[in-house]
Amino acid sequence: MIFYLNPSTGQPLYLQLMEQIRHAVETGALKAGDQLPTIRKMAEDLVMNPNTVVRAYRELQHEGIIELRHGSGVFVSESVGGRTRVTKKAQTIVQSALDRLADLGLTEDEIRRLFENELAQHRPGKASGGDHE
Amino acid sequence: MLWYKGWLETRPRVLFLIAFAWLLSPPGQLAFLFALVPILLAGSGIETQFPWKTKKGPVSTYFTLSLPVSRFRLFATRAGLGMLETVGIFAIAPCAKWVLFIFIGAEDYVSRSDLFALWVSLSVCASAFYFLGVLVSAFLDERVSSTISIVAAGLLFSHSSPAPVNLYRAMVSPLSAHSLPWASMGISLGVAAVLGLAAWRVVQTREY
Amino acid sequence: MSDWVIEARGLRKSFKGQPVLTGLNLEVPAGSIFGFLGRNGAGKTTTIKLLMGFLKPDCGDARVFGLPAGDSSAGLEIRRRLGFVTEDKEMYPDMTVEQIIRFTRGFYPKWRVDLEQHYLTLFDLACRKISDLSKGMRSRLMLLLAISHGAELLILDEPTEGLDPVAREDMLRELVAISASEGTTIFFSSHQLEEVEQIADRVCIIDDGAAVVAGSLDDLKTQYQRLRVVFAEELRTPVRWGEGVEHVRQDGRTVDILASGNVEAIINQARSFPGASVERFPVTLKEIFLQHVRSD
Repeated sequence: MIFYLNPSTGQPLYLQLMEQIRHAVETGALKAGDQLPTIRKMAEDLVMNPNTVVRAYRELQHEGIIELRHGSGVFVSESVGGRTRVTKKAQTIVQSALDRLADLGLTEDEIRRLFENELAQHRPGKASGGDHE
Repeated sequence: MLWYKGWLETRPRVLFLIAFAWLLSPPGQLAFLFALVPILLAGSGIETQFPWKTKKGPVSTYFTLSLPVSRFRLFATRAGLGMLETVGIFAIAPCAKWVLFIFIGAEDYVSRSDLFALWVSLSVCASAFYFLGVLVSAFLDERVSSTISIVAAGLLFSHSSPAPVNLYRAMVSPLSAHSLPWASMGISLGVAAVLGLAAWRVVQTREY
Repeated sequence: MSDWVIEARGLRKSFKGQPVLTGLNLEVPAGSIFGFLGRNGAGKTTTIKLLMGFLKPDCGDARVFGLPAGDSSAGLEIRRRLGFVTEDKEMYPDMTVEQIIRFTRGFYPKWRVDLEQHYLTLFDLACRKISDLSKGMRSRLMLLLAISHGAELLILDEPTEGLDPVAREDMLRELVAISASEGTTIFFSSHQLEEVEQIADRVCIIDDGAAVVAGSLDDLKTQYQRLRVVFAEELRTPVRWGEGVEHVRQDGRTVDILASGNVEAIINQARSFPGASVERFPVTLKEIFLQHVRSD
């Protein structure tokens, strides 16, 4: 498994690592039961701080995506199958939304800005409308 | 291995000074120049000493100071080494050279006890010059400290002052007096102690 | 009783009447990789010299392993437990690599031959005279000497200075490895924001002799955000933004905000304007650095 982190994007490295591991699991590059590198190996290979790896692993463990088995190492949880299904569903939603937005004539950049704008203001569960038009 | 480090730093000087002392022997009119031996060997242990280098070379001061060794040990080892080297050089020249030349008939006979006394008086009287050099090197840059020490020695231990204060004359006096210059040696040791203590205080409290 | 490996409070130091440190505070936790950043002349090397006991502060307190840094007997104990790489990377030119290893080894109660051998082979340090080594090789040799006595703390003054990108990455990798395998705390000063961003988990930015930013790098990157607000029409009077706004730049209808906190409230404030849209961007260490050291 090859991960690539970019320290200069401004996003905390532990989040980047988490996203990449999550992504690998969701797309099936990492399957349930697969072993991940040790903290030390990951830190050395990526030339990044071991505490950052620890934090990423810990958060992922909290989310149930990976599990740390004492003495044996770090493994992808057996229960990730469910997560993959959700992601596949989400992928379908996004794909159809993108198709429809493209039909409206929006460019890629416009679509991206729209998404980021909405995400910045998004409150899950709240009906659309907000304070202005 | 502090001794070895000091040796590496002083080795070029030791070799030069052996040759220098060899040329000065047996002691004649220029005998006062023997005082250059201790002055040029003086060092205070923290900064490396390379007299008269034309440009400022690399200085390993911070590496040395970062070691878990007390400043006192650094100072004392280097001070002790230079003094031992001085004593050793005087054993070679004038003393061993003279013994050799007497043996091959190139020099007139001088008694063993006189030669031994010469060695002792040179070494002990050298201590005042030595610790003057140590004090100067404790707070001056390596390249200039030797020059300043020489000037200081010239001013402080005047060539024309009366005995027993005249250490230059005392250094070689056993040759004429056939006895040790006790008063001068005492003065030299006293001055050496004071200067040495002052040098230590400078090194102890100095900021690098 | 704190468990900061390095702790400094209110450090002040002047040279010839010129103030260099003006009340520096520092806290370095055990096991961290701590990046100490600042412009030239900001006081980084002076701080390191104070921690090493080469200088004494005019006021304030510096402690390493909980022991007073300026004290001579405590200093000896401190230096037994830490490894140091100097800024100038100078050692004894006439000694060979092997000699200086033997020399250094004699001063430490415990020596890790395994680490020494590891770095000898890794850094490809043949038995040459130190005066024949390049600056990069000397940096590596110094690092070998600093690590091989089992140091709990490494204080490194610009460790990658003068190294080419490959050698630099190698050194960073070794620092990360020693942190992961031995739990060594690493405190290093640097000009290179990218490498600090890469391996440090905590940083301190020093400017004009005092710390202007300090904390966990992850936290800083989470707290600092850049917001781009596009208003429906150009504002005639500038907005009085709430707390947390570090820097505002306006260009027509677009306002660019660098915020160090309180981001949600600022977004709400922006959205209170009809037709305004807000975008969020992450902030790099470079932007945080430039924001805090630009002379005001």
